[in-house]
Amino acid sequence: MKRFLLGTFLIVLSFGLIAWPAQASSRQAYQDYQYQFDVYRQRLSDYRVALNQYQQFKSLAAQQDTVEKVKLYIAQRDNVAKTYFLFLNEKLSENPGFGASELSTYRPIITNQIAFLDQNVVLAPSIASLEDAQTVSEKFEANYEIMQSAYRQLIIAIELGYLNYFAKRFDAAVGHAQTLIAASRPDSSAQKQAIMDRWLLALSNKHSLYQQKANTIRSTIPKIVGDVQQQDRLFQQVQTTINAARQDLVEAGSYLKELETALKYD
Amino acid sequence: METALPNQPTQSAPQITPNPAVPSQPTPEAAAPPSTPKGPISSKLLLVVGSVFVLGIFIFGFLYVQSMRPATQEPAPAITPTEAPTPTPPPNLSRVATTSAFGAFGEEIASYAATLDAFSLQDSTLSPPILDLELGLVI
Repeated sequence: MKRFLLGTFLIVLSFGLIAWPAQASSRQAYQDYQYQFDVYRQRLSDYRVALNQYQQFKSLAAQQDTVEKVKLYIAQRDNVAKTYFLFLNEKLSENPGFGASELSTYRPIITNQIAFLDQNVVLAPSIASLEDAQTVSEKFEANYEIMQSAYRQLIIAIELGYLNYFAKRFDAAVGHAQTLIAASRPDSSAQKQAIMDRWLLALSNKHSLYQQKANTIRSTIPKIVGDVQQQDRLFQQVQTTINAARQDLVEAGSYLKELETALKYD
Repeated sequence: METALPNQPTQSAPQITPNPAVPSQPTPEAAAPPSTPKGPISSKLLLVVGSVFVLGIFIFGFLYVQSMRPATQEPAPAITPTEAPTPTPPPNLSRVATTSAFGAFGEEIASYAATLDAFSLQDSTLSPPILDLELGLVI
């Protein structure tokens, strides 16, 4: 008994240790992002105070102070966006529903955006005037829609990944159910066999419904581009489809329970 | 100068002789004032008003007592057990249900349903940052 308990404990511990690094890395990335966002708010506040002073007094000292503050602010804005993408990258990595091919579809979005932000952030120290600051900021603004599109595409992709994970578990359970049904067929009456077959058909139909929704979601992801309002509208539509797909999987779970009960008794 | 008409009999003016003073006795008719001659109607009115007043008090009292009484509860219907005409036979476990594979299948389904129920797809940590774009410079 003691050996059994010890063995169980070790298995649970090993699973926990395997799962820990993935969860920990995304948690660490999220904390980093939150910290950078706090710094961003502080830098923005400092810049606004300095700008206000400059607009009031128009002094050279105030202008110089504003330039210093805007440099820090612009650099920090790039940093926040970058840490958010790094956090999304960790979320993609730890997502159990992604294969290597799907990861290779979504990772370039992150890579491209981080590359842009890295290029933009190095311009910040070279800002020598408010005109320079305006020019550097406009580059960020020009990329803003693309960045928003990347955020939304990645969020949908992560949610789709989790749906895929549950769909895989569902498929595995249906496979086991088919094996059990096949094993019980010689002992079952014709009526019971018909009940089992109907449940299998219902499960298959539910899986098809889920798959259609998953395909719709996957095909919509690249379409989330352009105007931010348009992106938002598509994003909300996809969220609705994601919830409907999840509901299909929940209902499929209840079908599996019914099938289990039907298998249990003669 | 005063002349008497010929066809007109002359008559002397009647003389009023004072009667001896008789002590006047009060009569019931004389006691009632002449302006209130409806004595029986007034008493009827008083009777009606009084009876309405008393009736009102009774009704008010009745309603008050009714309102103060606790609501009577309807007696719960007695539950009479119905006899099952045919007892349900206990279900027999199938041969498959006794296998370890079936137990694992049950655990797999329970775990799937529980994880899916507890899992929220919309992760609040994923909400993107809202960044200020305009620098607000007037150059």
